[in-house]
Amino acid sequence: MLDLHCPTCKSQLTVTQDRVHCESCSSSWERKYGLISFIDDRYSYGNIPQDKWKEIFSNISGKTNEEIQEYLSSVKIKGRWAYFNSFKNHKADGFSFLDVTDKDVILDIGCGPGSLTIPLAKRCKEVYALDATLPRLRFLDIRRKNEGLDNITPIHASALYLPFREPSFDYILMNGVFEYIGEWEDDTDPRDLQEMTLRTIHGLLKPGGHIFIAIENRYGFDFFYKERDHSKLYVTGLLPRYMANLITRILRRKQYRTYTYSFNDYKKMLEESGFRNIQFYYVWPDYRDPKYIFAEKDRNIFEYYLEHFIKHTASTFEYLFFKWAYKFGLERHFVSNFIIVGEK
Amino acid sequence: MIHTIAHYINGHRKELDLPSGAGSDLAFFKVGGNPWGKGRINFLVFDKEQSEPLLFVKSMREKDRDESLRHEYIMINNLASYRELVPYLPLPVHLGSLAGHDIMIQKACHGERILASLSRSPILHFQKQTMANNFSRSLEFITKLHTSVRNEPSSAEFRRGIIDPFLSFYDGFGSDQNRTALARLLEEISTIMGGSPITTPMHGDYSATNIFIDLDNQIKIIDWETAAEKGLPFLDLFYFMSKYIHNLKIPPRDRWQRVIRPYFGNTWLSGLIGETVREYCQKTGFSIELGRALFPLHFLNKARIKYSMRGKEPAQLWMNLFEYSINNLDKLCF
Repeated sequence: MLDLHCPTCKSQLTVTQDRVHCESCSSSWERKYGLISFIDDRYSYGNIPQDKWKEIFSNISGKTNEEIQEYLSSVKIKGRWAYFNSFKNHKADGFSFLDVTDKDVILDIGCGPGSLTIPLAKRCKEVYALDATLPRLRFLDIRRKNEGLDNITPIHASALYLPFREPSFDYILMNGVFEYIGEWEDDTDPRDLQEMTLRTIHGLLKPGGHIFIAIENRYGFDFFYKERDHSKLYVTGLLPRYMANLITRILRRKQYRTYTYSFNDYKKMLEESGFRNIQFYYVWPDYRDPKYIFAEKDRNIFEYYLEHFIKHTASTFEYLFFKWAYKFGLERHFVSNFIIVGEK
Repeated sequence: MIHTIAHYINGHRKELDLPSGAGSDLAFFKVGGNPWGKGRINFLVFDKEQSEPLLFVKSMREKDRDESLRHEYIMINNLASYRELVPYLPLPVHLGSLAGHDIMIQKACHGERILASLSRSPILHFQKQTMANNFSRSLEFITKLHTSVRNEPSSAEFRRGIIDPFLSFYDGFGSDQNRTALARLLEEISTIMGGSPITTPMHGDYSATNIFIDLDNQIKIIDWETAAEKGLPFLDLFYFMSKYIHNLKIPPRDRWQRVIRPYFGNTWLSGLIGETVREYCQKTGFSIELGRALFPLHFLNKARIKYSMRGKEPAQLWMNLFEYSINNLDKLCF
């Protein structure tokens, strides 16, 4: 296991059976349900309320993965499908385009219930699975034990204060997480927080290590009219930030802080954070359900996808739109979901 | 993973029948696959700058020897020993192992899947001709398969290998309402087949998604992973028609009702179904009486496959169709 470092003073931590302690600044954190935890339980991502989690854990503890799936498919609890679907192994298929080996150490930031953690742990040496929502980590921990995977370390922490210091990872991934970074601290500009996180990740990667981000394209076709933005409203992502902020303050009574970016912006942000060889992959229908994946540079595959898939499954308008975009070499600006890989 | 696959392909160019010069610079397109369990991941492999894929690759996500890939490979190769079936198969097919992952590589089909010709119009009138053509194309292969390859097991083998699994699945599913009706139906099937039952190969997922119409108008059948060497006649044909109707956009909105209505009604679709079944009988020599008795089993068979892959809930919808059909056989449209 890697050495953990104090999220505050960055000194090396002492990890025991029931707590984590920093000799240097005398901070101490008790383990929760056996899990290393650096933050309180207030942050909760997802639709499942605390009392429902109690009910869920009382029903799934000691059960096999098959029994858990059976339970989740039958119980009527809002938000359960994300956990049921986390058993789908294809969510980590983007990694098949990379050379993950059994020597690699991976940090999964915002691991959730383990959609990527579990399949990756079967291929690599170790996964550090970090999330700020404790029930999600508990869920992952149950799955981990059921699968007999002892190379996963779940950590309850904020991605803004990572308990690592040295360049230790071969891959650091954020699957549907980067856009939420702005929500984790209200008093800093979301873009500044995102850029700070990219720089931190760059520092934690070994030379030649890779960052893996799965995220929406701000100007993706789906967000013109088909899909809601992360604000849960339509088109806010397309608007200037101040206008989106005004609208979400009025309609949702909260600031607009879930920033997504364009193809060029992502590339620029990664380059400015020190990454090179930045590759984009298109992922359809979206990165949560990655049925189709191919590299942005393989335009012949885009043409094939356009004529054999989009043509028959999407609306005529969408097909003609992408046909036009392809003709002028602009498709990368409008594909709705990306996997972005950058090398240190 | 794709780098290892690319290396493997380049090392097996001859076996894979790759054209000269092709395969040195490959691009990968991840397509579909099975997301559940250990699951498979599929890729179409392109030569750089080429607009049509060269190869179709199926691999396991986890390091595992996969019986379903091996089974599919054997099934395709067995069928390829019948010369008349060769044009319909995605050949050559190659089975290998790389870095502990089982892998099956076959020639990519060009052209379009039949599914691509399905209209999105809610009006049936404008798609009648296409539907009739597609039903006829599906019939073309299935009649050829069922006339070329047949087995004649003993009555005891037939009961043990074909009949009993249906009963034990039904019992295990936890629904016993129609247990007696199913047992009676299976008896009837044995009686119709007399002392010499016949089994035929069964694709198991014979749908518009898995039938390509190649650039030279030849149909190719892919995805043999749920295939059985010894199955029942009619079932693939019924499944093709049911799944096709299920995928249409015509009313009613409830897809399951949409499947049931033409089989048990008197519409244009009922007429097309009847015509297709009669043509199948004429070409294969199986009786329509046998077809009627086997009809509910195609729903039960699909429920069985769904159950084994995805659990009870997705299987339940097919089970509902089975339960409806077994109780309404007298109203069947053929």
